[in-house]
Amino acid sequence: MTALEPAGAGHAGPTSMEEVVGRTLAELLAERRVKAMDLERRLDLPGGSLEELVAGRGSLDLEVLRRVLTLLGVAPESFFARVFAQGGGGAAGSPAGGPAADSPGRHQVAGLLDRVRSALLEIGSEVSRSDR
Amino acid sequence: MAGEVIRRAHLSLAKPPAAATAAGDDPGDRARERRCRELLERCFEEVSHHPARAVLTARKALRLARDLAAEEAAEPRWADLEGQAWGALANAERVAADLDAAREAMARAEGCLVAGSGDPALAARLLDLQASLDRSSGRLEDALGRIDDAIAAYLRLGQRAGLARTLVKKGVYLAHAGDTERAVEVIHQAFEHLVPREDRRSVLAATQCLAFCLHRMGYDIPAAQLVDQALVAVGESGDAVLVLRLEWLRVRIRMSLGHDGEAELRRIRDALLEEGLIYDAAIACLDLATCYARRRRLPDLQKLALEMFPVFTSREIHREALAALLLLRDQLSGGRAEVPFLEEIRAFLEDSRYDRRRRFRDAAG
Repeated sequence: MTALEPAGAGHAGPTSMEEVVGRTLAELLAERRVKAMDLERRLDLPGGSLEELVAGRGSLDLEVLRRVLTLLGVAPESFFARVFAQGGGGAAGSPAGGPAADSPGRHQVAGLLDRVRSALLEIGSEVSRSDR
Repeated sequence: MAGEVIRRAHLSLAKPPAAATAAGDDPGDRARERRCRELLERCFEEVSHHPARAVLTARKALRLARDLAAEEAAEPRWADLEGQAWGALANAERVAADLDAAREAMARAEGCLVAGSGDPALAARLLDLQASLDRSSGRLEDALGRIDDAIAAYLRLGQRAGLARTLVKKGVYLAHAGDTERAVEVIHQAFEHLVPREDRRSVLAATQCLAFCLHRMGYDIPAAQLVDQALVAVGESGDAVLVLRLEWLRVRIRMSLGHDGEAELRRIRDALLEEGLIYDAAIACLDLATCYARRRRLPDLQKLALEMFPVFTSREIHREALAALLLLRDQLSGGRAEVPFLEEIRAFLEDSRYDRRRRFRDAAG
């Protein structure tokens, strides 16, 4: 499955980016056996703010998320790869999420990416041949 | 309106292209024509990474074409060739940021179209170039209308390469206009016609546009992967400016994923200045300022305000952008620029670059 396929197809209704990020973050905290409250204290965050993030409520505060990931030693790319694997939908402009998971554009984009990649490979092989 | 002659010529296609009168061909003329076409080809190759050199090459081609067209009882095809040479010069002057010279050359190209054989391929090419000139003049809406005419002309002519190239351009223009979803659709259409080995530049431009759109739409991971693959495809022999733009897009994507791009951004900003790409350098300064503001590095913000001086003297910076940049400089000097303000100015600089109707803080009311 590519990152742009509508993962979670068959899953009821579109899911917001905030919800999927929250769910992924909750899983990460459970794996690391870290409590949201402890993290809030260590990062000097207002009480309940991380709970909100984990619950997927309100708008996604990227700065808080970045600080949490840094503290946990998790690279943002690997975190968002997990978000994708969960079928992270969400509003335009949200990090790594893209349009809603049930957006018909996703299939089109996934097909286009394959095409572009093969065109780039073709160009790359031409360049390396001419460099010899 | 500029370009109207070209549009009418394409729409009516009143005169069929005159066939070359082989019997009357002079070997000397043929040699000059061949040399002129070679120079036009070279100009096309040079224009994206050596615009000043491309201007000189176009002028050489133009001299040869004008000599041919000025001969007694000259055939209309020499006026066509002269039109191509003026078009090439207009394009090179545009890329070299001399828009007045570009407009003048484009008007001369239109004149040649009227005097020539009515070649529809020349009309299509000039529409395509006029669209680029409209965009660089800040008339994005006109550019989009014109590029549609060029697409229709190439479709009618059955010119695959021209069609693919203009579709890529349309995708880029739509992305500049903020219509990323339609831009992706048009890039998709372009890939139906692109032949990678023959249209290397268009494929790379389409990839860059697609990565930009994906980033804007929030697909940062595939966008970053595409940029990496494009950089590999460009290879070491690639166009330095294209590499720079791809690297810049990559650092912006990484920053939105939470990375610190400071060192990379500094290098890119300096390289943009060195390449004379002042407007881009101004936007890169904004990225750098955002980096500092996020970490509350006030002395660095103040230093950056001083470093931005070369930007203000550039003719590439239009009046509205200058007003926004001066406001920014004042805020940076006081070390009080906030991230939302920096992002607002950055978005304005990007949006107003090709659409001069935009006014700073329009969106904010």
